[in-house]
Amino acid sequence: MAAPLVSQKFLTSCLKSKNISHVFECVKSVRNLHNPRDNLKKFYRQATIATSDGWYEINLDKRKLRTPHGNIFRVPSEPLALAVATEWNSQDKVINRHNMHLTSLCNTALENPFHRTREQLTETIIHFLETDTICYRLTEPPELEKMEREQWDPILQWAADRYGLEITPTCSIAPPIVSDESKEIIRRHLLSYSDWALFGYHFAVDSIKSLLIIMALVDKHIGVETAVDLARLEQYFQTSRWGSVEWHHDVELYELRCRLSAAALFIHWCSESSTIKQKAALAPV
Amino acid sequence: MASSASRVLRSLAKELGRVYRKEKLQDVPAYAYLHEQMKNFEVTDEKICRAHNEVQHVAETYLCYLESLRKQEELSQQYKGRGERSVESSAEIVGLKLPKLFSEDAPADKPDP
Repeated sequence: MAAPLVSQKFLTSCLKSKNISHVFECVKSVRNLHNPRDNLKKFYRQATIATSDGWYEINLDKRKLRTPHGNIFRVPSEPLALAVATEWNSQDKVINRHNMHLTSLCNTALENPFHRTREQLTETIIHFLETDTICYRLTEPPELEKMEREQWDPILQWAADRYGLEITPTCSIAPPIVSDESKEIIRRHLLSYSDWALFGYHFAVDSIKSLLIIMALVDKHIGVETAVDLARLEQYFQTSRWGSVEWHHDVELYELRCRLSAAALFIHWCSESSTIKQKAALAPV
Repeated sequence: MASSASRVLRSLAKELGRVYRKEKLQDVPAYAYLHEQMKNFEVTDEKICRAHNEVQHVAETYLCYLESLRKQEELSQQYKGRGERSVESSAEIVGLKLPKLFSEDAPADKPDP
């Protein structure tokens, strides 16, 4: 436990220093000294939100929260800021950074560490369609085959009804057949989202390796629990037969639920436009 | 519909209560926002043209997020490793003892007569 203590002392002394460049140097060296997996001790009492220029910022006590590169952390939507603040408030004694999915999603969207353009991001997401979890079927054991048919087919059917996607699942090693029109439909659909929402999309799809399930989740056709269950169908089948190991299977289940719910909320809040309309009769004088 | 909405709101209040232990829940901005959204939704669901169960879906998603985070944290606390064993305890497992180390303070063995 010695390492976080040192870094906290170090940080407080850095923050007391008036010289900005010195602070940056200190923060940089702190970053280099410690493995990111080392947890920082909680150095603030309360996280609150504040608005500036139409953006929402997070204040940790009196200080502004910053991104890993030292820019000011800001998000475009109020509920997202509130959820991020709640995330920081829920830390107890040490800051558990790898469990703050909303904060890290915002950081990724703010800084774009891999310098991805919208088009690149969209292509990466569409790429998952070619290896979509629900398009690879097993033919045996027959019980599993039946489960896959019963639970995955409705999602394919939904995608066909809602977006007109034509995808034929595969039972062999050959990839499923996806028509070019379907890819074009998805590309257009994805490009209608904001940049921020696309980062959320990518994070979600990458977690469960299925674009179709995520589309159903983002469209609010299914809930998070269902989405995770669908993605883990084979594992569910095997654990129900051979037994579930709490420290592996359950941890993984909750981890996936965390990731998917964080991504779904992130997408929702980043693409929601204000929906409250004033009555036309009450025009300002 | 209304009953399931209020059930979600109650569970969310419980989860947020675990996060904000000291404050009154009514004073927590996140809860106030949530409460307002859910109430707006109840009254003017059709008028503000939101998808029928949009607010409900978002609330459920957020509830799932908070719950899963807590449960995952509990599990990892329960099963987390306590680090590596020391050399002594590993030796003890197989019934061995480490040789005593020489130190100057320890009384020297008497030389054989």
